[in-house]
Amino acid sequence: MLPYSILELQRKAKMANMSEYNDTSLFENDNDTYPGAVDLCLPEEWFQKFLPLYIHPIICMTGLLGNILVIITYSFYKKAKSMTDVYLLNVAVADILFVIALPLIIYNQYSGWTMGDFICKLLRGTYSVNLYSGILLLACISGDRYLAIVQARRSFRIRSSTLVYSHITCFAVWLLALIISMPTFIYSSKYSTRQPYYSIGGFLNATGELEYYDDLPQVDNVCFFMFEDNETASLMKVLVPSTQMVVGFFLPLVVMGFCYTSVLITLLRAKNFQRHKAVRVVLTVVVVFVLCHLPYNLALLYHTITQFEQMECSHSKSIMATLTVTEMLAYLHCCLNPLLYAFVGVKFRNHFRKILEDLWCIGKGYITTRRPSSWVTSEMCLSSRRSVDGSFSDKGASFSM
Amino acid sequence: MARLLVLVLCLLVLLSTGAIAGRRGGCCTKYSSSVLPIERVRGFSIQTRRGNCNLDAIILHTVKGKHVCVDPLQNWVIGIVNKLKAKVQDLRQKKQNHK
Repeated sequence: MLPYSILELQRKAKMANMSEYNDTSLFENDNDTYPGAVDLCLPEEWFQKFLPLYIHPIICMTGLLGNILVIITYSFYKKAKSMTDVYLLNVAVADILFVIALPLIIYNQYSGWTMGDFICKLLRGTYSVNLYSGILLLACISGDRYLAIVQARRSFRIRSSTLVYSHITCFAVWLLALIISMPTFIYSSKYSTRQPYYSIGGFLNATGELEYYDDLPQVDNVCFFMFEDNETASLMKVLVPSTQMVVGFFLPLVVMGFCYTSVLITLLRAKNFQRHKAVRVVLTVVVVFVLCHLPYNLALLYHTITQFEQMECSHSKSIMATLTVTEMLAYLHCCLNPLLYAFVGVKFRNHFRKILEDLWCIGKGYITTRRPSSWVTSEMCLSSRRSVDGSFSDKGASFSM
Repeated sequence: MARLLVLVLCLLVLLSTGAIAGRRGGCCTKYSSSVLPIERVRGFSIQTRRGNCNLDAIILHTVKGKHVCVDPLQNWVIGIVNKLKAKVQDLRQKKQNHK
């Protein structure tokens, strides 16, 4: 507090020296209130800062863990055989990149963006690319399941003959996500929230230049959109969230809705002993997608419509808080993808079990080398591994969605 | 594995609590209905929708260090802004002449 008061005194002294502007009111001791005056609206600390602080690490850790397990399982124990496998692997990659970008963005938000302008563009761009590709790939998975189950006869030859189609689709999805994210990459930049300040006294520095000073509430760097003029800002501040709502939610929702409804109808007609499980899986996938993304998209829609209107500070704060909370819910989806798509499959779970057992055996092996007396455990490992391998040939257990 | 996870989690939380120092400046979300006398205004800054704020506004800084959000299209605001700008120009000229 002390340095500030010294500055204040210096400032007052300087102003007092300027006879032309003998602003005596500066020393008057009135309360300085004006009816109807509106102050700056500061962001809500609790929702914007402290809640994300405890929720985001959890999202990052679980998202990282689940998706790394998916990638490990696919890369070491299972060659991506079906189209769905290729999509699932790509979803896991998108989710991992997303949860890696997330803590870096959060860290920089807290530290007043200590990293550079390019990192700002790169992180926000990466975040956007992976958001789109992750969700669009989920729509592709629904399309793949539709082809496999509803158009089974027609698609059999295509699906069994080549994986090229799924690779092309994935490439197209990543490219589309990249193109849609270009505005975010181009217009994001690191800048100071400190606005040019014009003052009548005492703030010219030694060289006669107008000096900025920290009069506005503690200002620091942010990484956000910055447009060259108001017209571009008005356009892009509507266009970017609109694209996000349409391509990142509405379009995938329509595709998933159509594909999974057709799948459900086909499944309910079929007389398969496992159809109840399949129906449950399909419904869970759709319900979780809607629960995670609908609240955020509704909040975003409301914000996009009302953003340029005048509003009370409390109203603005509650919109921001709603966006923050619903966004967390949307982030949560990338932690749930491994569970909803990969671990739900029997085949995948068997491969995963094999990994765990191998890891356990390596651990045991490490102990046995140190304590030679317990060689029996390694023998057990070998036998258990054999039995797991055996279960793979069991075609009956390999119904995986 | 679990211990490692807890460790990394603690580290993340520590990292982020240590970095709390920064704070984002606020934005004007509404214009004032009152008119300020120019003697009470020390300076002004301009808020545009180009950056992280969405309302075009003039932020008047009162002599007591308060901020008042006003409509940049109001005549009295344009008056204050022009007078302050002229004073600033004047001061700058004087400063340069002194050297």
